[in-house]
Amino acid sequence: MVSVFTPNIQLENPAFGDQVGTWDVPVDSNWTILDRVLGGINTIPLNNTNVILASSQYQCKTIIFNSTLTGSVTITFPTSFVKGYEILNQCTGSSAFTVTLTTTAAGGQVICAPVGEFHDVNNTGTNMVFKSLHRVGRYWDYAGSSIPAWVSGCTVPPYLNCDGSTFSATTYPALAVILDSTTLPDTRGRSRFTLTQTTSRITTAISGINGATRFAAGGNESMQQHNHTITDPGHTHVHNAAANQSAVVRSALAVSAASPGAGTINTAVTGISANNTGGGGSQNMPPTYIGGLTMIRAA
Amino acid sequence: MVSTFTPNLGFEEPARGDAVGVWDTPWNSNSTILDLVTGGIMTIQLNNSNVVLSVNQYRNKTIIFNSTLTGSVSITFPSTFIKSYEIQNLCTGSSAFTVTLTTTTPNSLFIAAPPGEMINITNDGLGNLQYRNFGHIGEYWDYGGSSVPNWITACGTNNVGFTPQPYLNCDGTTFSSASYPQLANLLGTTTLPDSRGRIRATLTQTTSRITTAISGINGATRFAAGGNELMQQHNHGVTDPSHTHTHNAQVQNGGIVLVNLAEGMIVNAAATINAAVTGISINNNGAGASQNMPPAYVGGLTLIRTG
Repeated sequence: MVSVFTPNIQLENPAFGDQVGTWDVPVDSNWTILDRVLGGINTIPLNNTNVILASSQYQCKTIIFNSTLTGSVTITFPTSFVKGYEILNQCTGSSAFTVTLTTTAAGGQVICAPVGEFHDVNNTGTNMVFKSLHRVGRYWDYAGSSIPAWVSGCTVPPYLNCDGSTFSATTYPALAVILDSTTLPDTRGRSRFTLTQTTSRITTAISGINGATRFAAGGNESMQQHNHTITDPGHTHVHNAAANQSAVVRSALAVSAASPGAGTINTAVTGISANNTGGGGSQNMPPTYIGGLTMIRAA
Repeated sequence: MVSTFTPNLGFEEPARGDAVGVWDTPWNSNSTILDLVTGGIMTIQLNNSNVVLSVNQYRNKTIIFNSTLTGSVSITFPSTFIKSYEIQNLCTGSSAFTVTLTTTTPNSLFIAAPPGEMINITNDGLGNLQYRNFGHIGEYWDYGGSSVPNWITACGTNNVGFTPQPYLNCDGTTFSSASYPQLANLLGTTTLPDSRGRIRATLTQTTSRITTAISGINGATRFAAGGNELMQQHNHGVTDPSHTHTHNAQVQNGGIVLVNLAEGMIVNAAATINAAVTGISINNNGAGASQNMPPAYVGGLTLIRTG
C-alpha cells in the first residue's frame, strides 16, 4: 500500500503495515513539516527575478523578503500546500517595485506584500488574500502622496482612494453595503467630520452642509459673504446759515439791520451701508494641514 | 544513534532503530509541544519582577499577563525557540509601568505589550521581536490619550536605546532615516507632519479646494499648513452716497437790509446746507493669518505608524 497525505500541509499517513523498519521516514518528515509550519522562517533576497517557492520555503510559517529590488518580482506559492503565512517585505529600492504573491492557479487573485511590515496572508489554494487587514469601511489616513504600489498591484486592491469616483459592487460588495452607494466619498481637499447624530452642530441652514447625512460636503476656503451692521448716531455740520425766521421786521424809518439768530441744522442718519465682501458657498478654512490621501479599506 | 531536533520548535526526530520500546517518549514530547504551540494559553501574574520565560511558558501559543504592576517588567523570550505569539496585557496599575518583551540577543529589537489588547508578535529568528498586523507604515493614528503611550516609548533596540518605536508623535520634529527608513522614504523627508492643534485635510489632488491664493495653504502640497482660530483681518467697502439735511436756516448775509419807509419784509433765499461725506469707516475686525475655527473637538494626538 502507499501512504496518503493530508490535504493542506501534506503530512504523510502511512498505510497499515507499511514502513516497517522505516517508520522514521514519514514520522520525522511530518515533524519537520510541522516545525516549519509553526516556527519556520525563510529569508529570500530579491532583485528583479521571479521566485517559485521550493518546499523548504513554502512550508515555513514566516517568509521574509529582503535585499534591493531592481524590478518588480512575483513569488509563486503552490496550490497543493495550503496554509497561512507571516510575510515581511524588507526590500529596499524604488517604491514603484512590488513583490507580488500569487499561486499557480489560473485566474487566482494576487496580492502584494506591504513594505516594511509584518503581515499575515492566506493561501486559499487558489487565491492569495490578506488576513487581519483593516476592517472594510475604515478610512485610512495615509501620509503618502499617491496610492502605494503594493495596493494597486493587487487583483482586487484592498484600498480605494476616496476621490468621489464609482466602484463596482460586484468587486466590492461589502463596501457597497456599508456605504449604501457605489460612489466613494470625495475627500480631496477636505477635512472629515463625524456625523452629527443627535446634535445639530453642522446644519444646512448655517453652513450648507447637512451634518446628519453621510458624505454631504461643502465649505469653502473663502470667507463667506456676510453683512455688518453699522451704528450711525447722527451728526452735525458746520455751516454759515442763519435761522430762516420768515418774520416781518419792523424797522425804523431810515435803515434797519437784519440780525437773525443762528440756524439749526438737524441731525440725520447717513444712509451708509457696509457692502458684502468675500465669496464662496459656506464658511471658512479652519486651521489645517494637508496630510496626504484618504483611502478606504475596500476588500 | 541519537535523535535530531527540529530547529525552530525542537521536535525530536529519533534515528532509525532508536527508541525501540520507548517510542512514546519522543512521540509524546512532540505531541505536547504541538499542543502548546497550536493551542496553549499561559497566564503569568506580574508585579515588578522581571520574568525569564520557562519552557512551559514560551511554548504556548498565547501568553497573558495580568495582576497589578508595581513597576515596569521585562519578559525574556528564548532565542532558540522560534515562533510567533499572541500576547495579551491585562495588567492593572499605573500606566507608567510597561511590560517589555525581549530576547537576550545583542542588538535585537524589543517591544512592549499594549495594555488591554491581544496582539500578534513574531520572533524573526534573529532575536528580534516585532509586531505583526499592526497597521501600515505612514498611517495616521488619531489617539484619545494625552501623551504618547509608555508602551510605545518603551520599545527599542538592545544595547542601543529606545529606537525604533512603532509610532511617533506628529509634532513637526525630525527623526532618523536610519532608524525609520521606510517612513523617511514614504514622507520624502525626515521631518514629521505637525498636527498639533490642527485638523487634517486630504490632498486636493485634481481639485482646487484649498489654495495658497485664498487660504494661504497649498492643498496640493503634503504637510502644507496654515489657518488660524481667529477670523482673518479684513476690510469692508463702504457705500457713502452723501446726503442732505432738513433745516430751518437761511443764508446769514451779515449785511444791511434796505426797507421802505414804513415796514418791510425780509425776503432771503433759503440757505444751502452742503452735502458731505460722513467720515465713517468700517474698522478691520479680527486678527490672525487666516480664517475661522469650524465645529471641532480636541481629541488627542495624531500619531503615525512607523515600522
